Amino acid sequence: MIGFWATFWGWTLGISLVLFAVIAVVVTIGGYRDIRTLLAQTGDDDGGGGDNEEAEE
Amino acid sequence: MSQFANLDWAIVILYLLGSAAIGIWSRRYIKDMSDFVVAGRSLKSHLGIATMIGTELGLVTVMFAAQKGFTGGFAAFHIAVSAGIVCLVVGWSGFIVVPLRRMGVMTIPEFYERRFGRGVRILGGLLLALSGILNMGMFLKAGSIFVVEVTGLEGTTIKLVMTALLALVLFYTILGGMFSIVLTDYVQFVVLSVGLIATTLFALNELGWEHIVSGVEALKGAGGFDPIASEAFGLDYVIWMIFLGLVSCAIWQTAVMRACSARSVEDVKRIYAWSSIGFLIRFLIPNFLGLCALVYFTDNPGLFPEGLEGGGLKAMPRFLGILLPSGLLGLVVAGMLAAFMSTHDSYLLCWSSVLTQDVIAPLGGNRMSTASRLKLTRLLIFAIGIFLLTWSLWYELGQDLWDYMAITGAIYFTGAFALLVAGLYWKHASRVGAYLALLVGTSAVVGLKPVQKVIQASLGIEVEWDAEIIGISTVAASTLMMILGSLLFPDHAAGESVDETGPGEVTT
Repeated sequence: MIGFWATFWGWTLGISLVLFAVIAVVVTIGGYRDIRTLLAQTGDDDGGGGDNEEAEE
Repeated sequence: MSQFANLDWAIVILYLLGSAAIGIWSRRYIKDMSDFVVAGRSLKSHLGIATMIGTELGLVTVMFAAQKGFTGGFAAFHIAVSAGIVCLVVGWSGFIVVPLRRMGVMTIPEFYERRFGRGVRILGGLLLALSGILNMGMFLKAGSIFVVEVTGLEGTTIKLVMTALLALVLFYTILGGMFSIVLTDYVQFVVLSVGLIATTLFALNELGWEHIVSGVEALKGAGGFDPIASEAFGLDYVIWMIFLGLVSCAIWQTAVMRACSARSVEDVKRIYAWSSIGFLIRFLIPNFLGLCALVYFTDNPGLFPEGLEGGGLKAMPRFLGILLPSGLLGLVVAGMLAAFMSTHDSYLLCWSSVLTQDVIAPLGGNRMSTASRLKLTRLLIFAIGIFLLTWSLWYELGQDLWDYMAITGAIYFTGAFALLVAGLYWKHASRVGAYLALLVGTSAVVGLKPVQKVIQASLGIEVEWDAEIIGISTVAASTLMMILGSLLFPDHAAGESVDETGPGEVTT
C-alpha cells in the first residue's frame, strides 16, 4: 500500500511541477502585456496621469 | 551553517528597494476608493492569475505547509490536492464568485447589505475584519523565523527583523493600494515561481526520491503516506481540508477581492480555473520541502537540536539555508520575502478597507467622502500593523500554524459560508437567519489552544478539542441556524432574491 501511495504522490508532485512551470511562463508573458494595457488605460482615464487625490477633496 | 552570503544580501536588498520604488511610482494611479481597493476593476486574466497566486502563495503559507509536511509526511499532500481540485470546480462552475462579480460588490459585507440589510453588513464586516486580523497575527513571527533561520542570523534579532519587515510592507501598501499590490504581486509571482521550482529540483537532486520515500516510511510508516491512516490527519481532517479549499478560494475575502477586481465574469472563471494550479502548488511544494527537511535532519540530527517533535516550523528554512548554494539562496529568500510582503499588503488592504467601507462608513450613514475613506483606510493599515507587531510578540501558538490560521479564519468564514450560499442560492434566506449564523460562527474561537486552556482552568475539566472537529461542528451549526432562523423569522418582503444583472439592489 505504501508503494501505491508513494507512486501516486510522486506523480502528483511531478505533474504539478510541470503544470506550474507552464503557467509561470504563460502568466509571466501575458501578465506583462496586461500591465501595459492596464497602465495605458489608467493613464488615459486620468488625462495623462498625476495624483488626483486632492481633486477628490 | 547557512550558506547565506554577501551576494544573497545584495539580491535581497535590491529586490526590496525595487518593491518600494513600485509603491511610490504607482501612487500616481490612485484616483478613488475603487482604484485603491480593486484596481479600478480592470484586471485581465493573466495579471489576475499572477496577483491571485502571488497573494495566496505567501511566506506564511510556505511556512505552515512545510510544517505540515514535516509533521505529516507525504500524507500532507492531501491538503494541496483538495485545495487545487476545489478551486478548479469553483472556476468551472462559478460557484459563489460569479454571482458576486455580477453584483459588482467590492467586499463580501457589501453583499450582506444588499441581501440582508445594513446591520448584517456592519456585523459581518466587523467579524470579517477581526477574524482576518487575528488570522494574520502570526504572519510576522513566521516571516521572522524564516529570515533568521535561513540567513543564520542570531535568534535575538527576530524582533528587529519583524519590525523591519512590517515597516517595509506598511510603506508601500499605504502609498499605492491595489495598484502597487498588483504590480508587486506580478514581480513576486515571477521571482517566486522560479525560486520554488529550482529549490524543489535542487532538494530532489540532493536527497534523491528513493531516499526521501524510505526516510518517511521509516519514520511514520503507512501514516506518512495515507492521510486517512495518518495519526496527524484522519478522515475528519481530510473533510475539513476540502471545506477549507472552498473557503480559501471562494469565501475568503482576499481571494474574492480578485474576483471582484476581474474585468468580466469570463475572466473570473478563467482566473479561478488557472489559479487552481497555484492553490495546489502553494501547499504541495512547501509540504515537500518540509518532509525533505524531516528526512535531512533525521540523517543529521546535530543540525537540528530542537528535535523532530518540536513542531518543525524552523526546519524548512534551516534546511534551505544549509542546502542551497549562495546566489540561488538569495533568489529564494528574495522570492519568499516577496511572498511575505505580497500576502501582507493584500491582507492589510483587505481588512482596513472592510473596516472603512463596511463598518465605519455605514455606521456614519455613508456620508464619508472618497478622500476621507482613503485617509481612514491608510490610517487603519498602520494601526493594524502595530497590532500585528504586538500580537506576534506575546501570543503563544500552542498548535500547528495552519490549524491556528484555520480556526481564526473560521470565526468569520463558518458564518459567511452560510450567508453566501443561502443568500445567493436560497430565496427564503432571511435577516434573522443571517444574524444567527454569523454569531454562531464566532464559537469557532474555542478551537484555539490558549482559549481551551482558559476553559479548562475555569471549568476544571479536561479540554482537548481538535481544530477540525470544532471547525466542522461550527459550519454545521451556522448553516443550521441560517435555515432555522430564516424559516422561523422570514423577512417581511417574502421572496427576496439577488439581482445579478449589475451593481444593483436586492429585488423584492
